[in-house]
Amino acid sequence: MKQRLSPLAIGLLIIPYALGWSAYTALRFPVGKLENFTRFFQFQYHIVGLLIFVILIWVASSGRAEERLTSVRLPRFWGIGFGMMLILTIVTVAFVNPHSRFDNTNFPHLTPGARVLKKDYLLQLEETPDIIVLGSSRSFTISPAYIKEKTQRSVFNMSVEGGRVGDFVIQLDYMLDHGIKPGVLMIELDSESLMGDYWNINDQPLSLTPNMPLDKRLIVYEESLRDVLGFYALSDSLFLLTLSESYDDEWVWAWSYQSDGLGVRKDVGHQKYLKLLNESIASRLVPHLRCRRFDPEATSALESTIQRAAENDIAVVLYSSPINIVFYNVAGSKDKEGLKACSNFTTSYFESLDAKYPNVVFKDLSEYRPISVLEENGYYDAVHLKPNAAAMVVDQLLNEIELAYQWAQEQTGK
Amino acid sequence: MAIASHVFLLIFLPLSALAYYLLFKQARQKMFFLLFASYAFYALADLRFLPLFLILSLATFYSAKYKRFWAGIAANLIALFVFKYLNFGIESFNTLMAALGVEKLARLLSLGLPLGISFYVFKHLGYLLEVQQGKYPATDDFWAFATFSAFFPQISAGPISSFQDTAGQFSSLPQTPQADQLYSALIYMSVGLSKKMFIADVIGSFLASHTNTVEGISGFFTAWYVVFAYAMQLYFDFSGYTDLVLGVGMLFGISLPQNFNSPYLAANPAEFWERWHMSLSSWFKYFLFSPISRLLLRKWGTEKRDWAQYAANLSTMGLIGLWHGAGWGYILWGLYHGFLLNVNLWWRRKGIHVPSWIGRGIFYLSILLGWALFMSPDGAYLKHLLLNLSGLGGLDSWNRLVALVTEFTTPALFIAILLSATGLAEAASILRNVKTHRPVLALFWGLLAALSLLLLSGKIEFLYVQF
Repeated sequence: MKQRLSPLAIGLLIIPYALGWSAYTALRFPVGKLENFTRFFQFQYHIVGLLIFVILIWVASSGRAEERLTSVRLPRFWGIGFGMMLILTIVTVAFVNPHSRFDNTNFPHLTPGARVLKKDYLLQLEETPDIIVLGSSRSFTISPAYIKEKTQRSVFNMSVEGGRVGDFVIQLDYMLDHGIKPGVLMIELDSESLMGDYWNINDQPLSLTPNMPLDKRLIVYEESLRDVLGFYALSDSLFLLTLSESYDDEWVWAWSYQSDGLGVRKDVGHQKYLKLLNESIASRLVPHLRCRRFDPEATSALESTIQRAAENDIAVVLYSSPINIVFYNVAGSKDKEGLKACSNFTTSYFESLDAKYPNVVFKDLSEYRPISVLEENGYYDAVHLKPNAAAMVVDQLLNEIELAYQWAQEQTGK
Repeated sequence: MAIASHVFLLIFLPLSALAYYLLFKQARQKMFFLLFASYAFYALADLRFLPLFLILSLATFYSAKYKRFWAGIAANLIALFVFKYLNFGIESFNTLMAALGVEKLARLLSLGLPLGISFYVFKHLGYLLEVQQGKYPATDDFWAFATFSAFFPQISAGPISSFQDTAGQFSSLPQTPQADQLYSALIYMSVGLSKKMFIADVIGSFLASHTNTVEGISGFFTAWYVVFAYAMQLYFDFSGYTDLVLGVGMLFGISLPQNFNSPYLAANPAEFWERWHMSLSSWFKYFLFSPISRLLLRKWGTEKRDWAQYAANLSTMGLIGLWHGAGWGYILWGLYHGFLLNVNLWWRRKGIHVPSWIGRGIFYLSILLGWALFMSPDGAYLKHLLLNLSGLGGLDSWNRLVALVTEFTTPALFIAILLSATGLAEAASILRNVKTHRPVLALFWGLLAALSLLLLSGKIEFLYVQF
């Protein structure tokens, strides 16, 4: 009896409590913003879970029941409840695809989506481009049309958010798998490309797994399973489904992409520029001040990509993208020696690749002052170039592109 | 791979269960499959330490077989010492040397902690000691011993079972899953996951973000909130883990021992240890407390019976504290519980009578103070916490109180306290004894398990896995 009354008391206490909390959270956090929606949904989700838990214990232990425990229907019904919820979640998340795990684009992505989109854009091209740009979001604004105007070569920009060495391995394999052999790969690199999670496992879509080594493929499967059957993917999907008309722009991935791969974003305005500048400086200080040693697996992956390109008569233009002068000023004030040492170490490694591989040309633009000093006129933050600055980068690389293209032509002519 | 992970619950476990029932019909074949699955689980969880685990299993088996018990005990204890306590010893030595003004200090080793070493070593030691005491003969069946040693549901954090109880079931493993056994397994797993995801982890995320530093505790109310929260997190986390493990074991037709029996309903410290982490406390009771008591009684004589028990309590609880982790805080916590047991013993021997609500009140207070010791990462934190618990650190500001009440954690903590106080936190074992269920309830249990699964982020491990 005591055991029956206790849950009843809990049940009676929890219901007004839960209702009060629901009202409170709804009032406190307007759900039009993604962050608030997540918090609101998380709260409701937990309250519902706790309610079901307590009520089930109460009902099940109260003894008011009709069926014998030995019935095979019980595990079956458990399976139906379990499976139903998981299937509903998978279907919702796969349809909305908030984290770019799948290829569909029914809704805007809340996480980087270039890996999903650009591989399809590449296949949609009528002809194989002469030049393909690889790299991180720092090269999003490298304009294929501008390069074509200057070199008369066709270009596709395949750079992706946070693009690192692992991405280049995957993308080159993807191109060759689909019979796409450009003459030149323009690869934007810096110390960050060779440190930390150089495969960017969390951002890889499932459709690129055939182009990954088996161990990385398994990790992507595991991450995707966790993500797709995860609370946050469900919450983000429901946010996009229910509030897609009213969400704050800030939460949708900042870039959109044209069919030639060019990244486009709205001008951010002065206040937001300052905010983004500070954030991007803070997040980049460590890799630019302490890079005395690269991950040997990353350098090995980069060099095997260069070799594979050479085997397929593809030349490689390596370049470091110019960084906002404000970053250097801040980093220099913190650790001038570290900044210099890191810069020298990175540059000398890339120069060694230039000397070692005949298909590689390297140009260091990381501290190219005419672009660096543009500050807000040339940057969205510390590293992301505006179109005018990206055009200046291309101007600086025209000789290298031509040299590389000639090497590729010579190889195919042999 | 962890027990509470998508890969384990959605891939490893269903595939193992399917293979177990569809591919293998004889009990012996099933046992070999469990051994294979257990090694695969360990390799996927922590491949580096699989050889160590295999070596210790072999050493234990052969030292029991050839009656070289001390060799097996030494091998297991040395491994435990090297991997779990050596750095603690070096650190303590360095602190002592530094205090004496010696500058050249020993370097710490970066060995890592093998998954489940505290648990499987104690299973091995239990086997060796039981065979040595003649409770049962040493087994000739290495494969049965290896399966007992490695059985994957319990490898990470117990419960610590005896060879006789677990391996005794290998000869009668079920040919096909029985509906009641399957449903019990599913209920245990649902309850375990719900306790972990809807209560323990919610409280854990609050504690992780608010109690890393002394600034997180700003007064009397926050201090008590934090200690209550920790007491509930630890209980729901570990008992949730145990429910999950027991459910997984049942899925393969193997019953593992219960680890909890509503510990916060205990009336005194002795009863608390009969209800909290029962597999560990009974291990220490049989293999340490009883021999120490007997030894001291023989040495000191029966007239000093009480003193023998006091000493046995203190030494056993000090070692239980040390078992939990290589740190003075854990040892202090163990000794503190030894002291509580002794006070309780003295109280009873003296026949002092107090109203039960006062006795329980003092007992709960002392248990919570024990958790304050257990949770404190260092002396400064403990001092700050105790100061605020006593009220000497001042009351919290009104804004802080409002923030506490409106914390996301509060509903979970509220429910956790109510479930603990009514004994319903042990829902899985209560429901196992209920002989009637409705399909609609089964459907909701399945739904709840799925809702819990969606909350698994892999960021928060079960707390006891680190011990």
